[in-house]
Amino acid sequence: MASSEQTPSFRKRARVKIGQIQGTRPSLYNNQLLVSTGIPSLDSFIGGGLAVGTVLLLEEDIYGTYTRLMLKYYLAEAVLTKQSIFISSADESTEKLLKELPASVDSETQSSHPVSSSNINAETTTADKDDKMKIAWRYQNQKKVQGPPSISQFGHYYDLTRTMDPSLLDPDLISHGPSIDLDSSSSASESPPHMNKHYQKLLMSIRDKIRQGGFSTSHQAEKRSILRIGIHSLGSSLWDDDCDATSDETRASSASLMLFLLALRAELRSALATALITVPAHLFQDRAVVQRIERLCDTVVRIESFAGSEKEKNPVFKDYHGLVYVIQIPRLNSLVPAQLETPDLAFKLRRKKFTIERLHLPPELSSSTEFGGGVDIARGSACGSSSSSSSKLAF
Amino acid sequence: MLAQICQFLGVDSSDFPLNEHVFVADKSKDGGFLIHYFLNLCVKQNRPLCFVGLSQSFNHYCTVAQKLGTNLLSARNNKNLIFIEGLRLISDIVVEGKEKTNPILQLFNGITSPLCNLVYDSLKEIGVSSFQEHFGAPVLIIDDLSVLLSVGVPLKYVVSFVKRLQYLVTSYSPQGSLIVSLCIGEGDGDEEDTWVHLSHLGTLSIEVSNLKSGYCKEVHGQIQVEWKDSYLKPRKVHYKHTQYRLSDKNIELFASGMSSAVL
Repeated sequence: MASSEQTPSFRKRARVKIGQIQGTRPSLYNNQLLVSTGIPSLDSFIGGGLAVGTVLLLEEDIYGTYTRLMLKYYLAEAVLTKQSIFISSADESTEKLLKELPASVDSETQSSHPVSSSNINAETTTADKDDKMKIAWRYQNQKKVQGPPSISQFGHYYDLTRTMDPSLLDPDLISHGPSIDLDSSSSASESPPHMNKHYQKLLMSIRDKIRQGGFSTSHQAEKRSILRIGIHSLGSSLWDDDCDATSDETRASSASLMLFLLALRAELRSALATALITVPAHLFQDRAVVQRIERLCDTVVRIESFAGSEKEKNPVFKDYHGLVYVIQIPRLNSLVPAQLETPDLAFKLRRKKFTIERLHLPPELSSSTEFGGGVDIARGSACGSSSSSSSKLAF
Repeated sequence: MLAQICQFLGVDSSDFPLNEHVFVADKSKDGGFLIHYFLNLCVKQNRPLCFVGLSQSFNHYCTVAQKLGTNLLSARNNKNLIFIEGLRLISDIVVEGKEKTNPILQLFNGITSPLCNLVYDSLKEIGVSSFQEHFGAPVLIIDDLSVLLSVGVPLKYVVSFVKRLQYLVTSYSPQGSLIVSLCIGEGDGDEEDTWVHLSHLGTLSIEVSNLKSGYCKEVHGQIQVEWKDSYLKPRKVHYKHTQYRLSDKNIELFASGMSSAVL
């Protein structure tokens, strides 16, 4: 990862490392390189961000609305930090997904004159060249007034009412997954039993992208960037998965998905890339399959929206749009994952903000009912000291 | 961390595991630390060690070992440790062109010998062979067997693979040890059945599970150890149980309900 760059000697070494790849920062926890998921509050719950080389699995809510939105945040973050995008979906057109990316909140002033990535480079190099008297050298790296807003910043907020300026999307940085042709027969010829051809194709194109785009860690390059892989609704029937209804073993049908996830992990571990995969886990009949999928991904977050469910009317949840379960935090390169304060998390969606926070009871509820008594929200945190405000009954 | 677990198991950190067949069941997603424990323990003892990593890349084990004060890279260079990149082998299955000779692919069809031969050759490479005495009993570690089940290898082949490996490590003199970890999902029939098979084969089985009462910040889970009587190791059957809390480089072990957060 050490690419030599001409930097003044008086700068801190750590600083230089951060500056090397846009939109990344090292973890305070185990010094891994992190990228933002596009939702700052989610970052903070999964240990600061998404470690480079890992897979984030989002288990979709019933209509898939919110996970689709989270995927868009993830991709929009890539656009703002000039990272590359690889996107694939069987359910809908990837072009459409990209067109719907939300605009950044702080790009309001900037959207009138967008700055392409080449301009930025030109700007910074000229700034380096006309070397004036540097009294306050601390500020020399601060962005110019007209520069792209917060390019080095980690995590942004997005305005859902406006879509991202299409000129910000650099076509060189975006690649699409292979198209899925359902007519062709699904069983991939002779070798591994039940290997789904679409998964195989998808993996091959990810692999090629990593090799050719110079995202492999063995590849030496001056300027490194991160590849963000977004896969929408993996494992849905449109991928032609679970199609072998004739197979007597139900678990064997999920094997190709598992093979794909393992192979993806193997590719990512030696690449400057992260992946976000959404999976309609509620559609899977077998809980054991979902557990296996979870194990093969690194970070796992399940979204449960209140839309259409009974919880929508429950006064406890009136401030929120759904619940978030952080099921797994990667223990990559460390014995223990980052620790959660509490497993009771909820999200709410505002026009300019998607926030995930600890589930709090609304204040008026506490006066009327016994605290924590009848409300079934403290179910995860039953054990004594988990500092939750929820129950006096806990011992 | 090594010292604490050794103390809990009641073993000598200089010669454990000696001809043991250890099976680690991980019911909590957190049990990986035991594999790190065994790995680092054996590397510290300079035992000839073959590690089959099916779920993570070498880098991961290496970084954790560094935190525990062991250098896996130098062990690998000194030919004490050989690491088989199982993850890479599995990903090669998916990639067209490299399929035919892939040992894991052969496993799908019930042919266990290519993968066993790979292990055998790897052990040979680090100077372990069945016909000559060598110093230090070899150790073979597999992390994690449930990956094979997940990708669709039938249960019976997985079990026969383990049996062959067991046969392999005992064929050396001094006899070697086999350490296998297995993740068990709740209600996952195949994995539970495999575990029944394995615990029948082993001389020591360790189960790591979550607390029944749910998530807790101060107590991460519990460990149940069963020492078995076997033909290879005649001894009294006994059990041990503890709760644990992991930190970045360390582990706290305490009897149930004796967490420092409670007292």
